[in-house]
Amino acid sequence: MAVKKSLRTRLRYIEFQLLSAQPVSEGVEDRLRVHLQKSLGMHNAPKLKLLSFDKECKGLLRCDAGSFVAVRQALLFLYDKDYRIKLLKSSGTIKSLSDEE
Amino acid sequence: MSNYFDFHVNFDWKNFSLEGYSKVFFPNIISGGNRYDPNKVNIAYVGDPEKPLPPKYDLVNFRGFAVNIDKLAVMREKGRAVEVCVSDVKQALNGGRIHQARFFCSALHSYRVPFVLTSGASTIYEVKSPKEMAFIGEMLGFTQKEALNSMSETASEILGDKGWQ
Repeated sequence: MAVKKSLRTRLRYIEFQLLSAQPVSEGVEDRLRVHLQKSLGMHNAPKLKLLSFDKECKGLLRCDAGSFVAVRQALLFLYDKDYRIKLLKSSGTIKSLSDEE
Repeated sequence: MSNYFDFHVNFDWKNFSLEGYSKVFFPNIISGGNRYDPNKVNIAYVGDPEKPLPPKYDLVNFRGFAVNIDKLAVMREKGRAVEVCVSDVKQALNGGRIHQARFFCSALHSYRVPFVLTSGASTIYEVKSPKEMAFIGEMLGFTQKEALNSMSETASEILGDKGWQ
């Protein structure tokens, strides 16, 4: 049964780049998820999916639109002396992100 | 287009213009006997509520985000600014004291004390662009416009007072 448009979960796609002094090992999605759960707590932990992560350390993250601001703020604190997440673009559709490239 | 400044950078950051800054500063920290240096941005670290503010400073950093209403009132009267350093906010977040940082920022907002957002970066990976700083300011209870104005207009006034613009 089709969901009414106004009731559909609106999604937000965030394009980011992981800048790191060390080579990036696997498990980026898990680390992101752990960090967001730690920052936002169990109650507010958003639904998150890492859609892609390439060799240039550019990734595409999907979250729901309601928690977008909280996810963005939490990602800004995922950094240390030898790595950092740089937020590139965000959009409601993957097409608009890929069209802009 | 506004000029953005980062008053607290702890390393020799050459490519700051790529992140959107007009200039960044390696500050002189006033604590434990250090004196005002007219050639640098002077940030006074204030921790003890009993001790008075130093006679001369450009910015004040309240250690541990301790709210001291008397000192905030003095700073508002004199038109001096408070430093809100992102690396201190990160330490508070990791130490479970982010509520203290937010309470401090809401006190700055309530008492209309001018403030300047700084990164406190020690390496290239700790730097933040002005837009990212605005998002962090939003988390602390300011609007994005207030956060950006702190790094442009308030910072420009401090530089103007020092005769650097």
